[in-house]
Amino acid sequence: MVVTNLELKQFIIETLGLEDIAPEDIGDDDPLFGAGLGLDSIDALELGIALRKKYQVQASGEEAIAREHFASVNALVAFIAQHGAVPPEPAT
Amino acid sequence: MRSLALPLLRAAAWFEAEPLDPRLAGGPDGFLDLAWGKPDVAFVEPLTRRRLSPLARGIFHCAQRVSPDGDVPVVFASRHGEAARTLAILQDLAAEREVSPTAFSMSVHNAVPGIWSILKGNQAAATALAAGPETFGWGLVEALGIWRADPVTPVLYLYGEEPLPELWAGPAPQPGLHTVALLLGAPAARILTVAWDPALGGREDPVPQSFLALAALRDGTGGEPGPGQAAGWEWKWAGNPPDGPQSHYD
Repeated sequence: MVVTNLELKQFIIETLGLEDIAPEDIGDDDPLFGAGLGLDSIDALELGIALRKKYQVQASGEEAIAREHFASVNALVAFIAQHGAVPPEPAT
Repeated sequence: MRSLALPLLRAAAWFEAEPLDPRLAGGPDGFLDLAWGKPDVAFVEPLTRRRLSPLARGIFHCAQRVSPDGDVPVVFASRHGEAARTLAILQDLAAEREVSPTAFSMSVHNAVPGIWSILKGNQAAATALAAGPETFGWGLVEALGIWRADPVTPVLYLYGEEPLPELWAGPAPQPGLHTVALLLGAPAARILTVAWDPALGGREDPVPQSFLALAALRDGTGGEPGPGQAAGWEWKWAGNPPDGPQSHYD
């Protein structure tokens, strides 16, 4: 599943209610958590759930909120490309 | 009737919409900081502010206007708290959807005073109460009890109410979203007396206690007997105290 960086930034802003932050304020390689954008562990859980809902990211549990996938916008886009899918319901 | 005198240092109230109650019309007076419209929460950093509900924003608006520096005990009272968040969580559970961690963390009754304490670095105790239709009054009694145990330290009383989500709302009209912050302490700038009849307690009151107390604070007349005080509580302005530190006991 291909998601553009801009789409993902908009998705993050909307999902986490980031007031006063525009997509261009988030660098592609900026850390999302801690020192960078300043997101916290609740945000990580919230993003993990939202990714499953919106992009049908198949990874679950610890894999879905692993630190490296959430390191930056670029990392998250790559993660969605690998794990995100919109599989059609298998016909029976 | 039982009565208590509440020594107040500062008072603020905020309404989402301009209050229609004539006792509250006219904006702020010399003592009560009364505002409506967009709450002023610019002092809260954006990463914290984004999670605040309209109720929490109103409470922070008021708290910032009356809160002193330093550690002060906080009493937060709200009949329904963040009911809209709780309902959204329950609806997600009913539909077997995953629950929002943000909504869950903010839905607990002590979330508002907790975030306030973190924001201010306030290490004094905080408590969160709900007491049905008499929540405003009993919360204030709790705050008074804490202050009396240590009259040197002011106590911050925070109150807020927002209409229940439609699914839970009964037929009775609900007051609009409004919040109050009172700083109890000595020497009092204004004294509010409250009297209540335990035999009449626990009933719904057509006028919220918070409205009556605020009206009493504004001009000293809001607590006069009249319609809207059927549930046994009576709020009165006891006048400005004489100069000098004091405490008031019945």
